[in-house]
Amino acid sequence: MGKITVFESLTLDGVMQAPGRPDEDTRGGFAYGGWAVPYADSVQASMAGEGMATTAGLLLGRRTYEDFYAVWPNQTGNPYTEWLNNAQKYVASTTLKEPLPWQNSTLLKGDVAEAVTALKAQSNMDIVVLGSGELVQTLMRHNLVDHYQLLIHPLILGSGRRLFREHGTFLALQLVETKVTTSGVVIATYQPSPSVAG
Amino acid sequence: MKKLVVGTFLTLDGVMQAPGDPQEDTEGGFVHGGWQMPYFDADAGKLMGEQMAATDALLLGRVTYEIFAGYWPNAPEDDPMAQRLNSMPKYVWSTVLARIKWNNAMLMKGDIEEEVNKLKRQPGSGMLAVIGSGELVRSLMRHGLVDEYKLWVHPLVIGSGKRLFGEGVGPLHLTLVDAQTTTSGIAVLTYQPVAQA
Repeated sequence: MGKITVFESLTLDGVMQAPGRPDEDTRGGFAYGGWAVPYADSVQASMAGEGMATTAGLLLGRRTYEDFYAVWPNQTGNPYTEWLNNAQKYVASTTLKEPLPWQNSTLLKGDVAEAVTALKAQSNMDIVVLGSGELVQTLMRHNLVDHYQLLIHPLILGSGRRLFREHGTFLALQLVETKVTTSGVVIATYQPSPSVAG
Repeated sequence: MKKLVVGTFLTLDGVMQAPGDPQEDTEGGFVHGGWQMPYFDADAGKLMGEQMAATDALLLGRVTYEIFAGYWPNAPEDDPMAQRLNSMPKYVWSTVLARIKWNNAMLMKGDIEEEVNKLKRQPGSGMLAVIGSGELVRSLMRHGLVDEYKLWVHPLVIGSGKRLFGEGVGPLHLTLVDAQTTTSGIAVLTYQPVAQA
């Protein structure tokens, strides 16, 4: 049975929009894109390295997939490009058509929750979800997330798209681990609470 | 100068509404009141006791004041938390209350910045603690009066309810000064504002 980890950079007020670059996602007039960059450090890098070593697949929403494809394949001098190119990428989209442009990409067809359930059942692959806010809502609603790895950054933005939205799903979780980076990012790992997940 | 510390129970999605009791605050049809109780273990009790011992006075908004004043004066007398809360000075901000009756509670009417700075300059080394009181916290934040945040992040996502950090609060850069966890999975995170250049 494959496991799904949702890996997200968040502000203290729960914003997940555009952590990496100013032009990453300016929807709603969001002006703080790139807010996570100053906090990157060796603790976070080694954690990302461990993640890449143990994870073979990516599950992405359409928007994050297109953004990653526009940025990463042409970068050099970083540990991520090769991994992203080689990783098996599963893409949830109702508008994209096959063939997808990036190597090792598979379009999930039909109902996303059903497709992800099947994906988990047919492999032992550990799959990570990055960004992909809309997709994560669906996965949470259908109890398809096995781990949440939340990188909680020490700032409050007061605007922007949040990971956990109004009218969202009720989730009882269990704190598995916390790590603190040199820049004050709290990396908290949660899994669904067994008493409730039943 | 006394330090003004905001201490808040939060869910992972930032909700602060009604942590202690189902009837505490049902505004907006909130049905998850009391969500905090299953997580309040010995670790949490010890941390809370340490915080209360280091607190000289409480600053409260109207909603939290009414909840506290309705509960603590009638709590068992041998409850150390009740003894502490009932006896310490409480400064209450409200535009609607005409008078207040909890022991050692004062209704504050003046300019918040001026009044809070006066309280900070009072003798003594204990903290001024704000508990709950979302509206008051946001007002204190806007005036740059918060010296420390102690956020008790509980391992659950509720999906509705009043949040501590609403839209429009920020941007605010903080420094993480301490992180602890309880056995029940509460992450108690302490932050201080980054000094403005």
